[in-house]
Amino acid sequence: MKPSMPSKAIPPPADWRDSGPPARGHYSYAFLDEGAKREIRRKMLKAVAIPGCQVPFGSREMPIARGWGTGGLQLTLALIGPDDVLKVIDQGSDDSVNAVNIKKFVSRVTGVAVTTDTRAASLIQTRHRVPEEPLQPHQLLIFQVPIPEPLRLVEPSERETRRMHAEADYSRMWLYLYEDIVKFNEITVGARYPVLVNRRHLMDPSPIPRWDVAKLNQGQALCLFCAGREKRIYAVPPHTEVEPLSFDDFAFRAEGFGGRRCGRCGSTATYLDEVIDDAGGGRSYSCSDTAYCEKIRRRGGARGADGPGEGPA
Amino acid sequence: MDNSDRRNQKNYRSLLQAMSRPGRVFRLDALGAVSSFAAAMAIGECLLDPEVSLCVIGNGGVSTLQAVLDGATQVRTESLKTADFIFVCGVRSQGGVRLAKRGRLEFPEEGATLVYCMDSLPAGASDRFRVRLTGPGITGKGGIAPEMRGVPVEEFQELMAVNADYPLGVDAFFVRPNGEVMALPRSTRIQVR
Amino acid sequence: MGYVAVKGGAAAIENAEKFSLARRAGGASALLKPEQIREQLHLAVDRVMGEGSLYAPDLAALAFKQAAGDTFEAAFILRSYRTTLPRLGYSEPIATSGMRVIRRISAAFKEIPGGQILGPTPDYTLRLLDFELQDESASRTRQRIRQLLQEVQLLDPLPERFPKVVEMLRREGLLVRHRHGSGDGDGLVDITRQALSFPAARSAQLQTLARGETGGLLALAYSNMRGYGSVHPVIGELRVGFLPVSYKNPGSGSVECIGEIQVTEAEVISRIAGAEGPAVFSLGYGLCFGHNETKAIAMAVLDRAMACEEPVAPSEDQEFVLTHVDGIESMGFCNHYKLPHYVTFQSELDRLRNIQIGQRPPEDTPS
Repeated sequence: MKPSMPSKAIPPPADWRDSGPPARGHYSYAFLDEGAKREIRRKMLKAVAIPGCQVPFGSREMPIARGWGTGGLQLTLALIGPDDVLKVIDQGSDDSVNAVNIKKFVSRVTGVAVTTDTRAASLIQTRHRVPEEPLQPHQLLIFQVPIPEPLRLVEPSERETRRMHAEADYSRMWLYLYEDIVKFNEITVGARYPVLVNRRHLMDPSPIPRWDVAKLNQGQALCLFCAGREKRIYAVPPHTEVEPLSFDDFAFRAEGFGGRRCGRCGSTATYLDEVIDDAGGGRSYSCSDTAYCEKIRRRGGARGADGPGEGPA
Repeated sequence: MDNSDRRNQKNYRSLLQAMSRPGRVFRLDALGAVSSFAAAMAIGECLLDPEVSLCVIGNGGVSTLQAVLDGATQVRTESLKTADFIFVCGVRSQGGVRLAKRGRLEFPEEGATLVYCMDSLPAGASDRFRVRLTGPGITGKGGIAPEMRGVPVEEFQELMAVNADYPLGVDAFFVRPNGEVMALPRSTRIQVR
Repeated sequence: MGYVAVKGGAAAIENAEKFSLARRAGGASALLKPEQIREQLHLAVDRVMGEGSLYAPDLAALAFKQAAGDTFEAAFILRSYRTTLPRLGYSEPIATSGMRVIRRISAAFKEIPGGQILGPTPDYTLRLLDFELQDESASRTRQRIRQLLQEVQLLDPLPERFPKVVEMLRREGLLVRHRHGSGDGDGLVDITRQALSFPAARSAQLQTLARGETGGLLALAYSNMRGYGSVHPVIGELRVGFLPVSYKNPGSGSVECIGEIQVTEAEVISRIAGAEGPAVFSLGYGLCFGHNETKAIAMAVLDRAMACEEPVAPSEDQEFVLTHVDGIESMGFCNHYKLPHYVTFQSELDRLRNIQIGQRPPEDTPS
């Protein structure tokens, strides 16, 4: 089908610099247009229907860079409404520069209330941590995911990893872990520990520490995962089996802190950040979940603590 | 946020909760609940647009529902075998669900979404307690009986058969004119006594 | 200290923006107007439009100014803006044979019908730094241009259309027939609306290349040219010019021209193919917004490379190429490593320390 071509060259309009777009300060509610939201919503439903399965979607470019949370952001924007209360954390902290930036943006395009209190939030967008306080059924936890494919550790090709999921052929991942044990007498995988969801799909829980993996198993709240750059959505519904890959004679283990306490609230039951204090290399430890830490501190410190403890030198 | 966008956002949250908690009943904010199709329309407006395809089957009102969904969403119309969304007028697909697409192993999410547009509650006893649902989103090893009344056991059995090859399968919503909605994703294991 | 200071995040971001402003606009020089960038740095603007995937020279110039010359950032700003624009419809397909050409060459033949039109190119200039540009006199430059335009009046006009070299080769049965990639259905794929899956349809492949980052495309194409692959390209035709964009008026139903776009098109002839049927030359195709010959040629070489029946080199692996040429994605991910990763690093430390201790520590899982 040939288009009809004009017979002469078309000169540009007299002053084409004037025909630019109208002034924009006005965006759709939550930035994304309804079509984009609808597509994300459809894909989310499929992700929930097939727990742990990565569903491709038409990821849009956002005002924040790829790799900086555009996936989590798109889910939040597709879900959010005026009644929601939003919490955004990065490495467990509400005050991390990137979390603040994301919160600012979402606030600006929705006007929703924001909070640092996990219990008060209806939507929590997180990078690399699950909040310490258990979630309630009405809450949604949205994970930012850099690399959605757990098998990327052993296979660079998307076509091949797709085949492995189709056939539930996860042998190469088992082999990888086994080889670690043989070489190091340890599994070297730190965060992003591969889990099997609903006994069928191998899933990357996003770079949360092993400490947080158990929280995904038989939880109360829906967990949604989204990689904007890689364009995948996946989900773990509540009351769903999520098991880290483990050997009978070599069990999965979370990180340990050697009995250390948080220097601010005294807790020994939270994931701790190790901070280098001074040039001498002195270390101190404090809760990664800063909002929870603040709660404990205001309540008078962790149970059993006789004042804030100090980590060994 | 304009009114229809707001309604779609709220209804979507109910649909998402329903899909996360199979067998439980949630409530949609139906559009004024004037017609018997209002609740089905609420789902249609939330999820349908020209990027997906629809097939309407069932008995009574098929062409009306088709026209109304078409007009409101500009969804594409396709055959039962290829449609992304299948709206069933009434509660029996009469074997139609067996023809719906179930996805491919590399792309199981291509399986269709069914929306059963049920009538108002029929009189009479329900045999829903013959059905036991277990799986993701359902508490307890014993599972639950579907909370929505009036879905014939035979239709559960049809879904059971179609979804036997997980992760291939279809995902279903059941909706009543009063806005009650229940979901049954393919991950749900269905047992019938 | 302040990356995750207790309450310093928001202030840090605001200060960062102020510092950037001071760096860009705090000097003594006159502030740039976007139209100066659009006209005098037009090749940068073209690059930003192409990688930003939005034909909007004024906006690309503005983005380039805002980004203080960082083409990755500028293209990113344009893409982000593109997301906010509603889609009104689709143009009619455009035949490049109708291009209003400003430059048109073929390396395959010495003479071609319509002639070799060198046009505006730095290709044959000597790259000697021109110090006269330091104090460029506006009046003298404009005078030189006025004189050029007068001289041009005395020349024969260019033909309105130039026949395609590849069409001539096709008519003689020397070139492969129009190729369709695997995965093609009846419709075109739109990669801005759905994620790429492999094997990708040819429309998805060409779209991905068209918005690809020039340097990334060049590196991969160069690898093939040097021997990690076997395209052995000869440029059948390279065109730079303007294409009219036609749109069917949804009201009246008539097709109207709504403007023109400048594009660069490269058709690259590659080695003999055709396992079945008669031996013919194969073809690689590249097309991008604006005047960007490096990108169009690289695109065409990669287009051909990815059609390779037995891919061996990275440039021949469709998944490898298409996944890694998007500048917004690659730049975003590269720079995301600057985000705090201390929680995951803590996890790695834990692993390494355990290994070093060389023993299994007591169970320490949370209750």
